[in-house]
Amino acid sequence: MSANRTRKNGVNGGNAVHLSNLKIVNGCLAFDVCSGKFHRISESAAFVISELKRQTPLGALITSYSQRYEISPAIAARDIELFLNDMSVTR
Amino acid sequence: MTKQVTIAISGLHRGDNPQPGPAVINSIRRRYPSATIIGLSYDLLESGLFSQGDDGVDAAYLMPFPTKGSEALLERLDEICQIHPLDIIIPCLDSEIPNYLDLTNEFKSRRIKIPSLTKKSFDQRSKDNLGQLGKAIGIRVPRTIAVSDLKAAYKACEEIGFPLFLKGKQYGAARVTTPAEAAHVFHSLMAAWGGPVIAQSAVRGSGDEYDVVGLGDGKGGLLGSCSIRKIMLTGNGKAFGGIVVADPTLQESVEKVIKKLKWSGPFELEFVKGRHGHELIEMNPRFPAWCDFPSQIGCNLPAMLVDMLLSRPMTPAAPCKAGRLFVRHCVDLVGDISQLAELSSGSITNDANPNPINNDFVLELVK
Repeated sequence: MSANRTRKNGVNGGNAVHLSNLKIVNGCLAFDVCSGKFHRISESAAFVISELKRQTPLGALITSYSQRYEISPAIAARDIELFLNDMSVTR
Repeated sequence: MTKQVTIAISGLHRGDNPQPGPAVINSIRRRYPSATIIGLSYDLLESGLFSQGDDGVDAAYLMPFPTKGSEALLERLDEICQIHPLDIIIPCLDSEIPNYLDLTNEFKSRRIKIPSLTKKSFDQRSKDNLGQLGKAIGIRVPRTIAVSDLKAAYKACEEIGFPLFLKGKQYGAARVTTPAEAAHVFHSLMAAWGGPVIAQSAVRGSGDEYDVVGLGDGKGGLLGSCSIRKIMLTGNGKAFGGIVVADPTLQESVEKVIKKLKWSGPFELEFVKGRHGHELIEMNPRFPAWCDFPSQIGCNLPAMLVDMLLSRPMTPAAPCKAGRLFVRHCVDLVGDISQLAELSSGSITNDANPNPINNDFVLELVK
């Protein structure tokens, strides 16, 4: 994961989502146990979060994501990057 | 010979600004279904008086308003004890607490147990002293200025900057954005609660609100607590739904407050998430209206308070699991004009058998 996509807690007022606090509920809801915030998420988002929680390296994630959704690795990488930026995820 | 414990509880109205009484009653009955509950009411139409469910009362009495002072309160409680000798009183309204604190020794001599809060800790957590408390323990509190006249209120607004909140000494708060709004709110709060009015900076940030209910042991320890994020709010900012969070930083703040105050009994801490983390905006010296939610998931703090007051072994509170949530549900209760007539004469009984007047009976709580 590129450094500019990893935000440390405090950069956005302590509102970054920390992966260890994130629970995927029934594959369709992401719940942050620390902040109490929850969001409906797509199946592909649930897949990315689950892989990141398993500490799957970014390269391997891009590969498995592109294979799973039958898209090119470049598009997969961009998808994942945009998603992580949206979520302000901290690993 | 044994008798059931008799517990008096106030704050029985579950309106759009729900009071905690019925939630406290429900929680106590979850563990002690045979406890006799006496409602202390200020109005014939307090909704809890009409409940036939587990949050209802066995009998209720009209009480003098807290502004009448502690002597009037004691006189009325003595009258009540002639019919229903009380073992425990759990005051559930902020405005009542000072009178109860004044009567601590009277209650001791009458062998009536109340949460053993000290005046010192009560004052330290008051809205006008909260900033000082936060500073002492390293917790962020929004800038707060107590004001007693309109000129001072304008000055405070100027110093803090709009938008900000004006809060009543005990209840009531409104967000104000202009001097005109500030004047209107200031006068309303002064008329309702007297001075001072507290001007408090609005917390800039996500604005997410977090509430913590807990029970202090009086020695600086926490017997149990439950933290929620408010997920639904009423028009006046009260929690209508909440979800349990597990935030170690928030928990640490709670523990710091309780340790510093050596808090004894129930409390509610209110935080808002700002740009730099949680900011403590209020500490209430009683159970909140949502306290029956944790009771339903293993953290029955009102029942623990009863155990604590009776020096009984306490069932430890289970940690509340993040993700459990509550949504409030309003129902229509049926009453009858005869109930109003009965209560207007001072009291009402719902099939409660008055206890024999003998404080030497052994208290027994039947599970």
